[in-house]
Amino acid sequence: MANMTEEELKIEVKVAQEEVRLIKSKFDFQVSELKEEVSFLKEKLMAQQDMLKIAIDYATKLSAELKIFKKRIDSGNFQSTH
Amino acid sequence: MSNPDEQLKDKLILHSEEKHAKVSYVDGKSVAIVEATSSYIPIDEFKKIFTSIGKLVNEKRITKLVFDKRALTVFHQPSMEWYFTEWKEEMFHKGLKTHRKILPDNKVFKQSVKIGREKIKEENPTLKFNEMDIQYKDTLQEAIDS
Repeated sequence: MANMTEEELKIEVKVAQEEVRLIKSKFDFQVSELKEEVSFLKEKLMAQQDMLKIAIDYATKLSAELKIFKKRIDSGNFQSTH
Repeated sequence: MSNPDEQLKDKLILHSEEKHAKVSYVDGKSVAIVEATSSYIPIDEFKKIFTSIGKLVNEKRITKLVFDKRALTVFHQPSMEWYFTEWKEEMFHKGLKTHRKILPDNKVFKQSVKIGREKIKEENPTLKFNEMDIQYKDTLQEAIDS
């Protein structure tokens, strides 16, 4: 290193700078891909949560309606639909 | 297609492909096919895909759309709202009035789709729903042929 000429040193610095640029570009790409994947997973999980909420709300409504129907059957106050 | 064992007598031509879905059309028929290739389609991509199908409807005079949802596990109500209230209405006026759907074998998914659709119908009583020919099929060939 001590015997390097100024020109050689400049070339070495340039090579090192290029390596840094390549590594940075690689990491930037990987971070961008990960960001996209995280954003996809987040949106998917939220949609999944909404979908399950819709199903739970429906099951709760159905359960309440069945309770009312059972009461009507028990009381004998119902009309056959057939 | 979702099921690699599924044999088709029709020739499909790929129109466009995104990360989570792809669009094809059937050679010699006015049928387009949108196939989900992942468990979920983000809303932005969903809109992009269907906007591209809109262009295909114009170019190829598409009258039937097959939506193959077999790869999906998650249903997204806001995407469906846009699909029903905006996209389908616009396409109806362009002549796309026949829809065939292939659903995944997933009870929660199927029920959520049904409830979601009913909710949209209730909130939008003037939509062209009842004038569209919508049927559910088990295979792609059945969907193309029916």
